[in-house]
Amino acid sequence: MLDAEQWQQLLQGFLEEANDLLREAEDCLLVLERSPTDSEAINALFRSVHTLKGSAGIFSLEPLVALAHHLENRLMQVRDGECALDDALTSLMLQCMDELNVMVRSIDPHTATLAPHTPRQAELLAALEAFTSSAPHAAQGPAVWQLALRLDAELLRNGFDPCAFIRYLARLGDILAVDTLTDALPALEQMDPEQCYLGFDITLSTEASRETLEEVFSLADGFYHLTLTCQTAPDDAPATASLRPATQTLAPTPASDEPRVVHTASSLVKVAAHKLDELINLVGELVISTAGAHMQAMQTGDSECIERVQAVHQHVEQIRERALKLRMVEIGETFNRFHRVVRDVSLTLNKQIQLHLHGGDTELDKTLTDRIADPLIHLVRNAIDHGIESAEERLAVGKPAQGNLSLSAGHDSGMIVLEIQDDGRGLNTARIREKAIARGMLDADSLLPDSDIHMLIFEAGFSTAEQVSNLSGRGVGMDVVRSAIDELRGTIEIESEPGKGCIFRIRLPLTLAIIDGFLVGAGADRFVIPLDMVTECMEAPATINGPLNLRGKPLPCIDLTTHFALGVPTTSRRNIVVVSQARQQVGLIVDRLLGELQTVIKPLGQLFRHLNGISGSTILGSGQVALILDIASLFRDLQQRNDTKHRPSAAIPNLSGEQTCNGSAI
Amino acid sequence: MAKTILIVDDSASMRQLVRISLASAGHTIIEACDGQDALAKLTGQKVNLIISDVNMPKLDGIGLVKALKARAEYRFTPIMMLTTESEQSKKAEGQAAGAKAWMVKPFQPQQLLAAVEKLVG
Amino acid sequence: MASLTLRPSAADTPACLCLAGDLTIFEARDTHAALLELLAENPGPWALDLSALGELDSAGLQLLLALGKQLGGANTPLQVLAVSSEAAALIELLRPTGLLLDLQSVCAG
Repeated sequence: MLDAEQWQQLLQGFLEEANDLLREAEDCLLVLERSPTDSEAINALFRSVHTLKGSAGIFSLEPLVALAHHLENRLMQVRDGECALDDALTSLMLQCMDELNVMVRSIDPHTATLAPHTPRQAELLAALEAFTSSAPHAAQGPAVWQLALRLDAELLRNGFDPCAFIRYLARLGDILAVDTLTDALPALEQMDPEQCYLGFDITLSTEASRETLEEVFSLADGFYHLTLTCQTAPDDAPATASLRPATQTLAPTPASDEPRVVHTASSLVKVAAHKLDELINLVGELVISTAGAHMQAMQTGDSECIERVQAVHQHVEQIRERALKLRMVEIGETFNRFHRVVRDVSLTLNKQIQLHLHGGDTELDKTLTDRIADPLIHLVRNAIDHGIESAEERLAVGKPAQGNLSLSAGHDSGMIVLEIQDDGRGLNTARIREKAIARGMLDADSLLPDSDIHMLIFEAGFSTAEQVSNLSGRGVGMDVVRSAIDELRGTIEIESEPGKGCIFRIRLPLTLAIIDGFLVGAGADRFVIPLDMVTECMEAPATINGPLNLRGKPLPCIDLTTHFALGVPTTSRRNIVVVSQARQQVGLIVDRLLGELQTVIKPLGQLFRHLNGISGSTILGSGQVALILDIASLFRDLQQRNDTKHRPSAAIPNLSGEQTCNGSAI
Repeated sequence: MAKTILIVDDSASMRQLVRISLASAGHTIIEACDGQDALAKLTGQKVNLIISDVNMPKLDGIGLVKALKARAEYRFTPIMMLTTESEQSKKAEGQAAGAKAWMVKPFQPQQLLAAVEKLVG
Repeated sequence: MASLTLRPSAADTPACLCLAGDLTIFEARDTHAALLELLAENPGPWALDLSALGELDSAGLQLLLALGKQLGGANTPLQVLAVSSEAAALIELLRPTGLLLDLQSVCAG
């Protein structure tokens, strides 16, 4: 038998494949909902379910096989034009997909076992069954076939057992009658007991096609003669007549479709994610050690050596780029899931919503696509639930009844930008303010700009829902969205216009593995600032009192040496690195500027996971450890101190707050 | 009903695929890596089906079929040959030797299971 | 080969042929020969006890059908008094007219 590890590998492969197949199937189903005659989608859907069933069979996952099997039968009828794919059937099939998803998730990854049939599955199976009988075009019952099987005298001697074939037939349907023909059987003395004298006339009631029935015996090619006649066909029409036209209309598609699919399959290699991670980690080490070698070479001053090291460096760069691209996947796959989300949510809330997707070909790190999906779903639900008005409300304010929701992805200055835009009522600033005050998050007399008030919805325990609807009652707040995005070193901002709609804009780094950084020194320590956040550097004035004036705008500052309690500055000529995020700016006061570098992020150990202001570490070419600054959390720190210090006097909102943070708190 | 099935193939991964597919249906699997190994492992015990690759080192599939037909206890044992499209020319030779059931690689596990059921089910 | 035992007839019941072991293509030739020998001694009528029968395949069934034809002619089925589960499954599937399965007795294991 297979050893445990191999079995694990096979199962792991199956689980991944199953997820892909189900997602693909769901996409197809949603395509079909919009264009029910898309034969390519029908075929793709059928293939996915069929493949899933086949693979599940290997692991004897009975309940999964059973549901997939029934689904497949129904799909076969849709494909053959015997059953119309209407809304009700689509909904039912989507429910089946959900159940299949649940089943796949509940497969024990160690034992490859699945809990036995649940009532929910029985319900779905029954519903699938019922659909056939109630649907007007689904009258395809089993047909009754007459099989006249005549056998070659040498059949038995060649290891074929006709009984085995007949037993197999019994699996395809109900054997109504078997006539075992013994006319050719000679008297006992004359018979050769190894020769075959028997023949069979079989009456079989089955849904299987003529091809399937013919296929049953094909292994014994040359040793039998089979005559197949169909006695009753559905709708009193000969089976051949009812099936053929449907197959013909579909025929061109599989023909043109199949080779392409085969091609795609063969040109893809599936690699376990952890292997990629290992590779990328090693490439990261390589980047670091190359930097070390480069440094060493520079110190020796040997031009030959420097040249060689530079060549190595270039190649390492190329490898790094390619390696990172291996992890890149198009976000389109994640986006496509939203058809389903939007469909379900808008049905539940009875709102008409058109979903627009843009930039599905934008690539980002697989880890990011996986981890951003849930926050995105939450934002989309939120937009539909709270943002987009009901049809009546929309008509009343002169908007088209159908709401629009768009999801887009694109690149902007080295970041991925994801936007969720709706044309609903926009955020209700007054209401958010009210709630925030009621929850003690805000002083009644504070004068925060609207944009800052909007950001309050991301605070823990905040909810603006007039009533907890079916959707928002999930116990997940917007604060979860915010922290998920923070974890991905991303940012989120809100652009809301009352009555016009709202945009949630998420910015994410392209990858989590490597960072283009700006290295600075504070005290004896080194810090890395994500380069794309650095806007400029300048010399710090000898004494800093209050916010600096940067081209007429106040610039709050954080002194890294004091912020991280690193002792006294090592130099009197200090520098300011101006970093910006979502139109906010802050100056980081450091001792030394050490230049740009590209480095691999090492996650912090469990112990330091919650360290504020630090998102990771890296090892420099010299072997020294540098800490990567978490700019987003520094901004939040600043904001919070701002708010606390800010409340009593609201006289000069922008400046006074920063003064406080600069002077004492930080 | 559970059967005893001998799988003969020099490719360990092919044997693995066959074994997993069939073991899942409850069959008992004996493995051999070529014809010689197969003959050595067949020591009179009952085997319901032999599934064999054609192209193998030492003793190939067709040689194995000939050898089996000469042994009384296996002379009627059904044999299914696994072959690739490019080996179709071997089919006539193999059938003459006594291997009548053929299956073309690659195949889906459920195809294999179905074939086994048709032959010995 | 399957072992054959012929229990002589008692009162007005036919002689009973007990078949034990497998009856497949592998055993067909030897069993055929043994049956011919038994028939030479006792030309019937016989009934069948298949309760100890192991594997039964098409060749085995064909032999039983030929035996039935021999004993009772084409129109008199051979009575099966007891049957093993495996043999019963095949007979149930094919319901050959040449074998009469007494359902009351088909509970032997």
